[in-house]
Amino acid sequence: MNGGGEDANGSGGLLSRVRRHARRVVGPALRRDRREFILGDLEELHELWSARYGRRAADRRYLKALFGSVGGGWRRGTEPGRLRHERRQGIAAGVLSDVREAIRTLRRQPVLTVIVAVTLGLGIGAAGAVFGLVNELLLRPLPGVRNPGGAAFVEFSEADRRNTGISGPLAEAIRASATLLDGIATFDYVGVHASAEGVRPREVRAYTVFGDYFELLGVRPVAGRLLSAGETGPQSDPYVAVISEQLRESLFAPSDDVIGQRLDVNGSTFTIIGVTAGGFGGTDRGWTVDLWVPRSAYVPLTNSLRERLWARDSRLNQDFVARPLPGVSFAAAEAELNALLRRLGEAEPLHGEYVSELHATLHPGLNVSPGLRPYLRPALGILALAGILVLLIPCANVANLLLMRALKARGELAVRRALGASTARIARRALIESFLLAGSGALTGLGVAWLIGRTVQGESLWGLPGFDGFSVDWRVLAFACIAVLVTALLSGLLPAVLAARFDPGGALRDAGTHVTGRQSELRNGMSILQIALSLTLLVGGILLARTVRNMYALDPGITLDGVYSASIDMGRLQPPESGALEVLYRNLLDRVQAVRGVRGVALQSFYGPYRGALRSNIATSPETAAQPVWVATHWITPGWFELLDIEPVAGRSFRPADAARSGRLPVILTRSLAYRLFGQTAVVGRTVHVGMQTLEEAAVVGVIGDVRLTRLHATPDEALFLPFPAAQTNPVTVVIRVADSDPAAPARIREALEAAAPAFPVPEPEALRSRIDDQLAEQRILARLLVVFSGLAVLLAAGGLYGVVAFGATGRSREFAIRIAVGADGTGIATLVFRSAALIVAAGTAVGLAGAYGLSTLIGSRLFGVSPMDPLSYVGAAALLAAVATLACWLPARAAARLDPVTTLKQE
Amino acid sequence: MAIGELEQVILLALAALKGEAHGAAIAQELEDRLQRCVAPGALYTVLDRLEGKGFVESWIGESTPSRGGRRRKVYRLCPAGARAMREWYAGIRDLAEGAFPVLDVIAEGAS
Repeated sequence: MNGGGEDANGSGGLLSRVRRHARRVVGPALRRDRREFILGDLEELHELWSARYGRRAADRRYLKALFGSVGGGWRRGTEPGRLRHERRQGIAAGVLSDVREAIRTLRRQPVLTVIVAVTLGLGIGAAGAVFGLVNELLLRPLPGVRNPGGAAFVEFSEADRRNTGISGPLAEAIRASATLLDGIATFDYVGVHASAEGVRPREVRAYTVFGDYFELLGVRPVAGRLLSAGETGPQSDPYVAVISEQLRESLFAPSDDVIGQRLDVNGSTFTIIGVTAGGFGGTDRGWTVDLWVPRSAYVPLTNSLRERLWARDSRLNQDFVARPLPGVSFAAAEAELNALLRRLGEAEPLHGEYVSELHATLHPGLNVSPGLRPYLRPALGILALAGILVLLIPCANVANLLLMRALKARGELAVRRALGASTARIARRALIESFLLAGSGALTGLGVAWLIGRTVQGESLWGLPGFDGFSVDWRVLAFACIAVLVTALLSGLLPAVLAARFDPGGALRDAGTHVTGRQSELRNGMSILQIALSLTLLVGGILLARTVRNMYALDPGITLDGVYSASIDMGRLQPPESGALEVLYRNLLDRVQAVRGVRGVALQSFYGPYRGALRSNIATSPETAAQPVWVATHWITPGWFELLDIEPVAGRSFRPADAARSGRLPVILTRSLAYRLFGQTAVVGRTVHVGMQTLEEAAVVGVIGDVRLTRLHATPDEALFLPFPAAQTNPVTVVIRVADSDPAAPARIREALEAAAPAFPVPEPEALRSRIDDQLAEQRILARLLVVFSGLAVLLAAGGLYGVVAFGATGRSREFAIRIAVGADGTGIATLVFRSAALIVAAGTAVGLAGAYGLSTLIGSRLFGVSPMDPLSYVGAAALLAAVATLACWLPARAAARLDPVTTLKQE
Repeated sequence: MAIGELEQVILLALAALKGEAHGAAIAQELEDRLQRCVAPGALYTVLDRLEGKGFVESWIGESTPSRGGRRRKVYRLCPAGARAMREWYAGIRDLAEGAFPVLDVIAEGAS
């Protein structure tokens, strides 16, 4: 551009820098056809002048002659030219030319540009990954629903009870009288078995709906029609059904016209009238539903009495969704609902029993049910906090880098200012540069976010659909733009302001690497902040990682490897005759036992390990029966203990004869329950009283050791075991132990189960280990992300420290050179460098430990087996950080120790 | 044809430099003889004008390390330039011959 390469004689003198800056700024103003000759002449003259008058005077003459050579006015591409251009063309043109120039500047310094882009990319990527997770879980609109943000869940509660539910007539009355609502509907869950002709029944989640359900949600049919409000009232035909596309796929061939087809639901025949479009699966992301029937279908589906369903004192309607009219706020709609409740309560004595006590609350936005929200918020809050911290750290790094660059370029800046560039213009130019850098950082960041997303891919939280990686949509792009804005301002504003405030005279006089005290304080401060933030995250990550390890290290008291279970729901309507049930149980045991690779099989009531348990009462005597102990109860077949490698610590396990129920009911206790009931474990032969409602006399025949069967908890289960079958035992769970890890075994077992229970839906057997994984998903995701984030944070902080120490060492090279010249050895110099870093690290560690204390109290409730103040985690994190910091200082220290005093002093 | 003051000194400097010189040499000559700093940009503007009048001719010379690898532009005084200078100075000399006695009288009378 200036028609020549680097200074031939500018081998490093401080003043020649002034010449270089001046040349870069003024050069473009020279006439193109003469530029080369003028600059060449000036070099030649400068040499003569410096021989004659000295370097300083020569420089002054050089500048004077250079400025004097600008003829024909200042052209575009120079400061006054730009000013005039901008005045004429408007500020947009000026900004555009700044952008062009900034791109040129950044391309001239590719290394710096790449470092900054990658640094910012790591931070933006980490924050983006958190945002992507939130986006995938919460922000993506519900499939098939029009404007889910404009609708709300309605919760009816009494003074002390939440979500109490209301009666059908009250729901009708509210729907008829509310004037600010576009619609209101109830939807209540029923688990059903559904089958089409020639297809095995499946477990399907169904909603019985009343009101403007599909209208207010804006659901469209992909075939047929949907249930209108008029089809859901008390007098309507219950036997019509709307199904999801997913259910249609699983029950019918793709070519079938399903409209008008029959669907068997819990033994009643329904006619399919429509299929929902757009993947609609209800209003709760974590609970997708595939079948919708009118409210009155509740009666045949659950075998309840029609009178109960529409009775005024029933509270069968629990879940509500409503949409305020356009322009009506949620608050106004809520106020109207409450006024309406009071009016209805006063007007009608029948409603009056409880209506006036009711209170309606609107939970705006359909996505996750209101009940789940309190669980989601804190976890995502912690992640968001971590993401913001990781975003802040590289901002400090980049601010530092830009600051150093601004210092180096201050000669150039001084010339710019001398030529009339205002403070605002110089700051603007610097900000545009940092925006460009942040933009390229954001591009890198999207890639980093994708990588981080992969570490939690496939995890499912709180029953929400599994997170399948990071995907870019407009929300993520909007986030990236905000991140660019924030990082550009955070990292660029300070250097921009400092750049703009340079004193041109002073800078020209000593445009060297002279560092002022205030700026180096600023850089040290930023480095301290970075170290503090990364230490905070590191402690949090370590605490959570240890929590997860501690949880997995808990002894469940049973064998998990090769153990699967499958729960078979037998329907709630017509339970099979007891004879048929016995055949079913026998078949399940025999057929599964015959599967190749199966070592053992047993049955138990309810859902099996790590899926919850039924509870019953137990008391030690009829006198204490008034205050029985309410404990988890498992009805199990003989062989269940052996299958899971549970050995009785006293007494015996169950025998086949126990199921015959001759004599007293045999019961087996866990050690902790025995201890709670009797204060000791030698209790075999003692009498207890057990039962779900009425207590029955039973004899303790055995005690087993500590087990954790419902979840991995600190305290072992207090549980009791009774012989299978129980009177009330739907579903029945088949527990299977497989000889070796055979990936095909679950599929083979499923086939056997299907053959044994042809009338019922059969799920794929699930490994117990994966159930535990599901239970610990939240802690695991938090731990994994926090560990990744803190790793990133430490790396970035180390990079920042390196920059500060290296820059500081360069600034002190003259001092070091003199020290070496007068006899200091390399170790001494290295120690000096390390000492400057040690102060920063020490201050950062102190602040960081305080921050870590704050963070760990925040996550305290999620910790397990490790105290929020765990000294080992704190010390370990600080030690790790110190080690990384030492590494970061090693390079500049070595460079300082190897300084050649002669060259250094000559240069200075 | 009138010749501007800066044009004159540049042509004279060029003559003093044996009729052939590049920008830096001319600037140096002017500085040495007249203690006058002429910015190279201004110098070239004048030289271009002189070239337009046919007084000097120029070509692009070789580059040297002392110029940071940049090429030089070399000017040579043309016969037309030399003639014009000669005529111009002849006129000046005639004018001065008549003027000097008067200048002497005034100068001495004033002092």
